[in-house]
Amino acid sequence: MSIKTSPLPLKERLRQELANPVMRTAIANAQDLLNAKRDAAFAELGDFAKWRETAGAIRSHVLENLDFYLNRFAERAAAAGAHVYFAGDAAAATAYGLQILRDKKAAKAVKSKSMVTEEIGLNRLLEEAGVEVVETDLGEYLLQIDDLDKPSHIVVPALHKDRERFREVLAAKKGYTGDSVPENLTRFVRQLIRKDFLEADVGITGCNFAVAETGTVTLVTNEGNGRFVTTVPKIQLVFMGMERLVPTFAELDIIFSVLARSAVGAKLTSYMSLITGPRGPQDADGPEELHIIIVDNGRSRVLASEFGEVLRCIRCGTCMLECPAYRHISGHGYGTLYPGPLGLALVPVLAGYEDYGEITKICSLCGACSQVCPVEVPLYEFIFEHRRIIAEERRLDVGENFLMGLYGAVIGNSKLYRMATRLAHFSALAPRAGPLAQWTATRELPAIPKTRFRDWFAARGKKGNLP
Amino acid sequence: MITGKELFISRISHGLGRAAPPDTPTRLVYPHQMQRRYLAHASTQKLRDIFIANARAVGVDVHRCDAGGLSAALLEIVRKTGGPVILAADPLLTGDVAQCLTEAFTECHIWDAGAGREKNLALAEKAKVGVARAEMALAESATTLLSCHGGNGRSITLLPENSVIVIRAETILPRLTQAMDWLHQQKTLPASVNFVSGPSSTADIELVRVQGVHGPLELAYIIVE
Repeated sequence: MSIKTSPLPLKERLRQELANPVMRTAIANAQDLLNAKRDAAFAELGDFAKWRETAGAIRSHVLENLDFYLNRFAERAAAAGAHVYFAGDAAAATAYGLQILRDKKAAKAVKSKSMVTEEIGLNRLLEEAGVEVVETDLGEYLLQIDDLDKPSHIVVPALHKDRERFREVLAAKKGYTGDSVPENLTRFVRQLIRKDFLEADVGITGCNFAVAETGTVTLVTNEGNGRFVTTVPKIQLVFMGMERLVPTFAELDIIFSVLARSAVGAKLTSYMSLITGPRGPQDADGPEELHIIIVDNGRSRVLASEFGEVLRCIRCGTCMLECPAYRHISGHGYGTLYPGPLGLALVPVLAGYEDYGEITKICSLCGACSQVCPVEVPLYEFIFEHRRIIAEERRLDVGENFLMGLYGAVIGNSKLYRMATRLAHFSALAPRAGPLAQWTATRELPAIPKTRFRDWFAARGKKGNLP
Repeated sequence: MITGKELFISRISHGLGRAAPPDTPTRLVYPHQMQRRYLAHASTQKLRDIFIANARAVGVDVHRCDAGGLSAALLEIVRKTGGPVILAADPLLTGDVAQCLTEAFTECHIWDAGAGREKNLALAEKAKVGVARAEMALAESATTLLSCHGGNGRSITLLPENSVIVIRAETILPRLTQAMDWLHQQKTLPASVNFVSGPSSTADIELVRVQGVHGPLELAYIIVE
């Protein structure tokens, strides 16, 4: 995979998603449930405004000093025995990973959920090179065996599938014969993947946050797969986006405290693993080699832009859960790996307006995302600014530019204006075809009266009926 | 070993409007210190009670005992799950406790880092119960901190279906903040530190919580007072 998750044009994607009742019910339920849990978790914690202000200040501080902290992190991680590789783009990152696997003659890799590995398209490249890659997060595993279906949410990737679909896929692909009770489906997958965990040569993970002062990488999971991937295989590859740093453990406290609450409404996840270097000389388990691949892939361009603060993001998914547009079209409607308000703010600057300018129109500019973001990313403001740039500076939308130009010409010229307003009521005759068809499919056009106000006013004045 | 750093970091420095990384970072000012106020003056008993209530709320089986009662408390748990048992090589567990368990069950193993990877992994994979000691515990989130190195292998609390974590009551602290302070003070960190806040779980199928995915299906805490 890469940033782009669908070959279909925007309108076709939206049409498909809007016509999918299973997805729409699932996403609406998920938003309501997870938003209520998050509200309850922060209400119990108290002082939400102070937490988010502090978390936001920490993330902003890291970005402002990112060169310093990356340098420090690399030095400390290397001192702890890790190999640190800086990858400028996706190709460099995947090539390095593949080289390690080739050197070790690895046949099988187990993987815990990681957005950045999706972004750089790691799985496909490894599979093409003959390495079996097993996604071990339950949701990701199901997507993988369901003919590489795409995630619809960054935290709960298979949100769009119901239990019956889980059962069908496991039955068709893995010979499952049981019912669709979630416990039973989960136990079945546990047994399947247990074998993979024990056989795999390499463990591949992302990194939720890295600690600069100690060279530590961290993984946050509930299922325990993050622990497995970093315990049994002899080689571990960690892929991390270059901005995913905190200065010290003190800041990790604040970030972890808001992350689990924001993502799933829990105080903390079941497991948080802190990994500093490969296993020690006294350790019997854990990886013998630890490789940390730090990925830029457009992030330095984002950082240098006016949208740099979007890199504060901690990937909790709260903005998606709060978004009314996401509610109806899910992550699939966006057609981008990072969907929802985060996707609209990040992707156009990460991967360009030419391919990803149009998606910014998905937003209704309600501003809810900016209110709930636990690190105060000005999401709505960024989306609005993208739209301004696309319309005013880049002038990318030919149709819109033409119409706006026409509109400007008409209201800027008194003769044209008079003619147009006299003719306006004829629009009622043909609104359901042509360019207005989409609008009128779900709405009524306002009725335009035959007589203009100024004509009516002038006529009444002549008769002397004014008070 | 570090590869490719100079060019990579110089791109970032340029983006931030400078030629090279600064010698020191700008000062990080915390606008608030709310994290330090939580249960700041709570007694050991209060912290223990909150810890227990929060642990039970997420499905942890909580037991309490005094210093001499650890063997009996463990036996009670292991009688339900059955053996084999694998213990962390921790002074709290290797003495009387190990002896007592060995008498009651035919297979009770102690993690032996010197015996190498394959042997230990095989024992952990076969065990029904893994027992380890926590460095500390956190009241707010019912969390235990496991320093996984040497005799406390990572696999002990991961591979067996049942996990038992032994906690000294006086090591229960308010929240994650105190655990991070402790990590910050360590001169050298173990390669693996794990925070455990409940049994493994998932909500990936219709957001229905299922306990027990890849890690232990059941988690028990024993608080030693």
